[in-house]
Amino acid sequence: MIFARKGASRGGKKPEDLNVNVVNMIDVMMILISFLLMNSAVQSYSAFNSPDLIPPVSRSDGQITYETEVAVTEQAVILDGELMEPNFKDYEDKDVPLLPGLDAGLKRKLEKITAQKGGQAIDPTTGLPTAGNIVTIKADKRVLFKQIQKVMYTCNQAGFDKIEFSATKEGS
Amino acid sequence: MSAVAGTGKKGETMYVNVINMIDILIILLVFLLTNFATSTFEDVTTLPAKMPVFGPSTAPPDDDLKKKQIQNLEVRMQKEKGFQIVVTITGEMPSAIDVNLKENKDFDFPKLSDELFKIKQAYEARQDILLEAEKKLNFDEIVKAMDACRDKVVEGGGQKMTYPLFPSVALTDLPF
Repeated sequence: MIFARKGASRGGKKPEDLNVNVVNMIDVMMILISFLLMNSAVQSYSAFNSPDLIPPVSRSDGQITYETEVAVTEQAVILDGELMEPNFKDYEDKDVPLLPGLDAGLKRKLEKITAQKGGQAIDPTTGLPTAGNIVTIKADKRVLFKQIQKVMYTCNQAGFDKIEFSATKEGS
Repeated sequence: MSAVAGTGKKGETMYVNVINMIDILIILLVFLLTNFATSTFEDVTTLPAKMPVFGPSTAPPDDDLKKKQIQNLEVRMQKEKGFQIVVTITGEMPSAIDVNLKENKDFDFPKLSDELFKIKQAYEARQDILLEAEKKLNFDEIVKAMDACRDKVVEGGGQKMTYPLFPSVALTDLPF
């Protein structure tokens, strides 16, 4: 806390006034904040980013929905950022089409979507009701097709009738 | 803000503590730089995938029966053999077109597109195709095959053009 000294106004030693122009600094800060927000917004589009998940490259130009995202690595299956199948690799040798952990998670998600949107799924891009429930499968390019098939089958059985694959656009 | 009374009108001096602001700025900069370093600036796209629907096919109208149509269009994908396109025309026996592997044992995706383009030219209305892939193939190869079934790319004069082929790709595994 600073108090004005008595006699300071009577020709005593006056403190030097330092004029700092903070306007430019605030401008720079605002730009930095907007960049930061933009970047985090783009990243949060996808609920799961990992070095274990390198998506394949495609020349398709489909729109991203990301209403429900199932990320598939060689080791695990993640639904909207939540680990569902920690032992996914073990299913490689099993002839089991349905993944129980993912199935339960997807059913919970479907109940949530139905409750939130009055029984009808809404396309987050257009805001219009969708014909079915969309699930985006974001899989690593090295995952075997038989493993992808299990994920697709589980999604289908859980009530997600529209499946799309996420990929990196060619040339980007 | 401080003002000293009793010495006439003096301009108010405002003291702004910029140290805290600089601290925040530095933290923001660090966040920004780490974010830039870790994020990959790639354009993400999606491609629809369907699961095959098995069951009795709907009978075409009588007028359509006179015209020849594709009853079934399949692409079989095998690691050791390459592609095999199986076309079944109404009233005819299924015919097969082989698209062999390249010399380096990779799949010949452009050639698959070329062969499908010939079929598309003859049967323009057809939109569906069934991709039957071997279970041991990886996802990258599946996506490339799906791309090859969906459109054909022609490059010339520094420009790339795409011709739509069969946009509705259903995925399943090879039954044998």
